Amino acid sequence: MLFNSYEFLLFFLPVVTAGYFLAHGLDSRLRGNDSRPLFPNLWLVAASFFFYAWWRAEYLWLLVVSITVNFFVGRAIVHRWAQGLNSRGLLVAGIAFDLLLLGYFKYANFFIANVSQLLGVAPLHLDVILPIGISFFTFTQIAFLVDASKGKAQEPDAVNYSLFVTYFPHLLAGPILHHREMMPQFADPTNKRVDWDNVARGLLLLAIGLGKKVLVADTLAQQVAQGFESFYPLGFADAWLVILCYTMQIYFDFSGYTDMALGMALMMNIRLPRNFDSPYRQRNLQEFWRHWHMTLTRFLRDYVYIPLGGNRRGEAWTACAIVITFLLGGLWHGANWTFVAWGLMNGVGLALLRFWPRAGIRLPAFVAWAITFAFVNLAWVLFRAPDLSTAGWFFKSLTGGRGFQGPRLDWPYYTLAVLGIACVLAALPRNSNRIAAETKLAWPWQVATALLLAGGILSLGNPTEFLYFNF
Amino acid sequence: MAPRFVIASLAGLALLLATTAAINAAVDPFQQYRIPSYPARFYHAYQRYENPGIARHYAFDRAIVASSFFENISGSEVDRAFGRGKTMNLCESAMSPYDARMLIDTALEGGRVKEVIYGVDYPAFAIDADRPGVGESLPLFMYDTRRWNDYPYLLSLVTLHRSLEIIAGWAGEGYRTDPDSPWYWADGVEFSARRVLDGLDPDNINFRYQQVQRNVPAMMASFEANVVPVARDHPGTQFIFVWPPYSVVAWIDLVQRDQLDVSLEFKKRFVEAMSRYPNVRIYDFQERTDWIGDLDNYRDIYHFSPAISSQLVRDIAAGRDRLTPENVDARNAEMRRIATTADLARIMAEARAKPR
Repeated sequence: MLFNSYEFLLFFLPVVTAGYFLAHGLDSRLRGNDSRPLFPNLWLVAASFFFYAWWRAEYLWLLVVSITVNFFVGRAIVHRWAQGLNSRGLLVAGIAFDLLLLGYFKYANFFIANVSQLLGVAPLHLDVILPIGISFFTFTQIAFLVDASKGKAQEPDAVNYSLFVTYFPHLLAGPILHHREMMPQFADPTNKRVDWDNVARGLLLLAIGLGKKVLVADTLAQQVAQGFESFYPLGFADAWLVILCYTMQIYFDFSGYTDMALGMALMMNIRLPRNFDSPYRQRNLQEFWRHWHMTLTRFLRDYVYIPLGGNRRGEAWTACAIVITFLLGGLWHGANWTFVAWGLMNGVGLALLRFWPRAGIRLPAFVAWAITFAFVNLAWVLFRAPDLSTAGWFFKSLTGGRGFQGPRLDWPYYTLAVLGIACVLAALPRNSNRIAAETKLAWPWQVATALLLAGGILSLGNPTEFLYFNF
Repeated sequence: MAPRFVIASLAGLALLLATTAAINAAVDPFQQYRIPSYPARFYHAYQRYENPGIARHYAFDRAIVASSFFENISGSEVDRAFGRGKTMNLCESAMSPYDARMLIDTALEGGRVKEVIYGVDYPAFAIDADRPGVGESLPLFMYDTRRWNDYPYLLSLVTLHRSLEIIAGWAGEGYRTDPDSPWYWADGVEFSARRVLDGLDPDNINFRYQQVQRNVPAMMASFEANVVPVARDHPGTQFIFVWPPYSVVAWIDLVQRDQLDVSLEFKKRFVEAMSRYPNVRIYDFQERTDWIGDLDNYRDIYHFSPAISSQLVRDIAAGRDRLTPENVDARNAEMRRIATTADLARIMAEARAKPR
C-alpha cells in the first residue's frame, strides 16, 4: 500500500490509528494498566502485514520467513551470549541467510547478466520480482543480529520483534530503525494512550510530507522523465535544469515520505529517527552525508565502515574503507552499475575531502556550498540514469560537450515556479521536522494542515511510487 | 490547544473533500454518471476516463475501438457507408489490446452493441497483456457501475478543474463537443511527405519512434488474453478487425529492425486463430500501394489522413480487402515484396523535389 493513496490516507491510517488506541483500552481492561502492551502491538503487527500484503499477498511469506528465522537466530545468539558461549557461527549463519535472501531477490539477475557477459554466453534470466522494502527489513535485522552477538540487544517477545521489523510507517522505505531506539517504545505502556500534542504535531508533519511528495516531487518528476527519456540529447541549459529538478524531486520525494512516516508514528506516540536535516544547505560532502538519509549513513558507519577498521588503521586505509563503504552503499540502492558508480563517486569524494585540510585553503562559505551542491547534482545523474551510457550523454550535455544552448524543452511556468519554491524551501534552515516540533499550534497551521492534506489527497488521481520503494 | 488543532484540521479537510466531491458529482465532466445537460465536452487527454461513461450512456449499436489512427472517423460516415445503425467512436490514443478489451466489455454490457470495428495496431501488441498503452494505470473504477469506488474521480483536483471550467464556461483544456467525432485530431494538421520525412534518419528510422523489438510468442500472449476473449464471449456481436494502412516507410523501418517476419507471422496466426469464430471478419489495407506509397496521405509514418479513413470505411462496408486464412500467405508475400523493394533514398529524393 502506498502512503500516497486514497486507500491508505482515507481508510487504513484512520482505522489503524483509532484501533491502536482502542486496543489499549482493551489491554488495560483485561490485563491492567501497567502491563507490557499486547493487544495494541498485536493490532499493529496485523495491520502491518495487511499493509505489506496489499502490494502482493503472495510475497507475505518472504517477510514471515525472514522475521521467523532472524527472531530464532537472534534468540539463540542471546542465549549463548548469556552463557558465555561463542555465537559467531550463529551470527554468520543468520547474516548469510539474510544476504542470500537479499542477493537472490535483488542481485541474482544482475550477477548472472554480468558473469554471462564476461563468459560470452547467453544470459539466463530468473523470473524474480523485487519484493518492496526487502533492503530495509534485511538491514534492520542484520543490525539486530550483530548487536545481539555483542550483548547489546535482545528481544524475547515475538510480537514486539515482529512489530520492530514490520511497523508499517517504516517497513517499505525506512527510516532504517535501530532496535535500541524502538524496543523500549513498543514496550512502554504509557505510549498507548492518546497524547493530543503528539497527534497534532504528527498530523502536521504528515500533511507537510504529503504536500512535499504530491505537490512538489510529482510535479518535478514529469519534467525529469521528459529530460531523461528525450529521444534527442539535451542541450546545456536543459540538462542543468533537468538535473536540478531531479535533485529537488528526490529530496522532496524521499524526505516527504519520511515526514509522513515520522508523522503517523508520532500520532501513535512512537518517535522514529530523523532521516533528513536540510542536506542541501551543507558546505561539504561529509556534512551532506550526515544530513542525508541519516539512518542509512548511520547503518553503514556502524556495521560496515567501523568493522572495516574505520579510521584506526592510518589515512590510506581510512580512505579505502570509505570508498568500500560507499560502493556497498551504492549497490544497496540497486542492482545496476549506475548505483555502483554513484557510490564510487561519493566514496572518492569523501576520501579526498579527508585530505583537503592539508591544502590549507579555506573557502568562503558560499563557494564551499556551491561546490558541494554542484557535486551532489552531478552525482544524481548516475543515480537517475537507467544505464551508464545515458549517464554519459547526460554528463556531456552538462559539461557543454554539445555546446551551450539555452532551454529548448517545454518548461511550463508552473513547473518552473514549483522548482523555484522547492529550491527556496530546501535552503531554509527551518525544515519540516523543526516546524512540526517547535511551531505553536495556532490557526494558521490548522489551515495549512487542512489545505496540505486536502491538496495532497485531491492530487492522488494517478499515484506514483515513492522513489525509495525500489531500493 | 492540541485537541482543537486536530479537530479543526480534520474538519477543514473533511469540508474541502466533501465540497470537491459534491461539485464533481454534480457536474460530472467525464460523463461517468449521465449524458450532461450542458454541451458535453470530450477531452482528448482523458479518453480512458471518458470512454467508459460514453459507452454506458450514449445510444449506439456499433462501436469503433482502435488506436489514434481511427480517431478521425466520424460515427455518421460509418452509418452512411453501412446504410444502417448508429456508430460511436470509442478510440483511445496508444490503445493497447488490454485497453480495448476493458472498453469493449463495458460497451457490450447492456447488449445494445451489435457490431464492433476493431483496429489492430501492430505496435500495441508489444506491451504486456495486462498493461494499458500509456504509462499511468487504467482507471478501472470507471469501467464498472459501482459508485462506492469512484473516489479517485470525485476526489480529484483534475476533475474539479474541469468542473469549474464548465460551470464558469471557460474554454480550458483542449476538447471537442461533437459526439459524432469526439476524438478527431486532424484539424490544422499537415499531411505531407515532407512532414513525414523531415528529420528522419534514413539509416535508423526508429531513432525517432523508439519502438521496442517484438516477438511472436509475446504478441500472441496479448492476443490470446485480450482479443480472443472478446470475440468468443460475445457471439451475438459481429467483430470487424481492420489492419490499418501504415505508410511504406513504416515497413522499411520493420525491415531495418529485422521485424518484418515477426509482423507477418503474427498476422497469419491472428487470422488463422480468429477463423474459428463465425462472428469475425477481418480486413487488411496494409498492401494498398495506392495509399501507403503516397506519403502525402500521412502525418507521420503511421497516421493517415481523414480522406484515407473515409475511403477505408467505405471499403469495409463494401466488403473489399477481406483477409482470410486462404489469402493471408499471398497477401503477406505481397507485403514482403513491397517492404523489401521500397527505396527510401528515392522516396526522400522525390519528397524533396516536390514544390512546397
